[in-house]
Amino acid sequence: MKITTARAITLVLVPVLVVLGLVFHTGSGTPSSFGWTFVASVCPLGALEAMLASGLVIPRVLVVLVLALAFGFLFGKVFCAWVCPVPPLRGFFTRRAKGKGKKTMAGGATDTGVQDTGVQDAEVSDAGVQDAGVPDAEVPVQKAHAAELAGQRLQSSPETAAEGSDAAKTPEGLVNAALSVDERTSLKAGCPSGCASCAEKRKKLDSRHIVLGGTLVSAAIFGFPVFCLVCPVGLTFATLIAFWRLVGFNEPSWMLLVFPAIVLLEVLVLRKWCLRWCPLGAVMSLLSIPNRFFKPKVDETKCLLKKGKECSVCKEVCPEGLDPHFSDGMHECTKCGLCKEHCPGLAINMGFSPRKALPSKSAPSPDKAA
Amino acid sequence: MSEKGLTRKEVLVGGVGAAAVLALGGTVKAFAGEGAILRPPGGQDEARLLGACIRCDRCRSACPLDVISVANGQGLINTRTPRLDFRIGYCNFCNLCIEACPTGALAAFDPDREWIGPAVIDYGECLAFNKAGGCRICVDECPYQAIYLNERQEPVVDLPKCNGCGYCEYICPSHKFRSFSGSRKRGINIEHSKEVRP
Repeated sequence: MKITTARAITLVLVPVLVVLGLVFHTGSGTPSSFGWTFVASVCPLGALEAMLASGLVIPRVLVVLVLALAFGFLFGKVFCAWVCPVPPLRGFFTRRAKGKGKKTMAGGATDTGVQDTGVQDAEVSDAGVQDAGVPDAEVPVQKAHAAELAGQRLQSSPETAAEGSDAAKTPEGLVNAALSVDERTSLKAGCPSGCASCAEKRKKLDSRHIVLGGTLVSAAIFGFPVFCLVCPVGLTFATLIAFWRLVGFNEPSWMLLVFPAIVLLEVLVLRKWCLRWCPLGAVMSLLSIPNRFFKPKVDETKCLLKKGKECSVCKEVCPEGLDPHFSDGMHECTKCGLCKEHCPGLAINMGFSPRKALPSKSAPSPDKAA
Repeated sequence: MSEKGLTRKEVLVGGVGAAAVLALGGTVKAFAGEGAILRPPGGQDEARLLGACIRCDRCRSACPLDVISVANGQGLINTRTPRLDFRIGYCNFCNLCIEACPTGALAAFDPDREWIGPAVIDYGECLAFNKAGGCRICVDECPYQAIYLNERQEPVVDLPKCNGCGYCEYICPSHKFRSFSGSRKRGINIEHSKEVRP
């Protein structure tokens, strides 16, 4: 099964489980805390806030935080791409707003991507981030096909043939076919505002960690988990619960409108929520620093770059702005699988085995220097 | 731009975000007012409950008797925290909510010595105090024999015996036998109290 398919299933399964829990009264809870009686996961940010705000040292919370560390070591920032409803919600609403642009253009695998530099540029500048959501049903199929094609051609045609008459067509055609028109446009358009996908590299600390600091201080000063009030994850599920209270218990509340409004504000107005603001993401990134597993590993023998072709697909599709060729910021990897699935050379593997030490961007690798 | 440190923009964005969370906390706290919400057993220490509750919904969803509801619309600070609604259910002190609470916002609760709040008779709503008279349903049904009839055949709550389980409010028929007055109260109601159970 493709990673993005598995991810789409999990992203749908989480709210489905929550709703089933509501309807069948299982007591399983929400992503804030999910489990059975006293065996349950707890949101690590909520747990920290709760301890600071109440001044209690809660043994159960300490155990959960240790387990969260272990989870981060094993799976990294997997929550952000596999559970969090923010990227799919953003994808849903921005895709709606954009209208047909993407779907009609996506079919044109032969065009060069030069013609659409107009209005669309502004709209699609963060296409990569949107793709972190539930994948578009049609586009990945094409991409997978293109990637397959790429793999076949690379295997069947020797290097010399590729350099021959088809040279202009093949490598670029493959790279282009691996991306939708929108994505290509966004690559060509660049990112004047300096969004994360164009950033030089991700560091261990950024603005999210300052927000996290403010969140923890605020909880400690005011004596309640302040961020929980506006957490988009909590509020998404609180909306489901408020709706359930309305239909199941005739308990109307303005919050049924307020909750989604806050979520939409965060998702659509603060468009770089995940990369710039989210303190939960900040906690997840800190927990993921020791992570060694399920990271994208580039097979250098298959990578088009090593065959002397201009390809930066993996780097450009990454919603976190990472380059799997380098170690920089790799703890931010959410295991979304987009780099693997978009790679025209089928060079990226995301299995369990830890990746070997890679160069940092500040120490350029020999082939970069060449 | 330094290689490892934060850029000016990151500091600015982070500062704005942190300030926003601090401002939110201050504002919500300033308008918190007096919390008079009936909490699930073990949540009577309001500071502890508000401090530790991460609004995860597990106590509400664990409650087999549906007495736990959500305090939406009862003060911003209480949004999504649990409250008890004895018109929907009552508490049999099964402990499932306390077990489910992942952050200890609901502490251990002893129904023999603590209370959720006292049962208080509403003389305007109670049938025994009105023309109809003769109602003794809560007296007969109270699981703790905490309500008795005085010489005028009016129900009286024996506070030391009452732990606020809410069964009296749950079964009170005042709203069924009287014309609708818009009152959200029944003939007997569990009320929030800061007092310790006598």
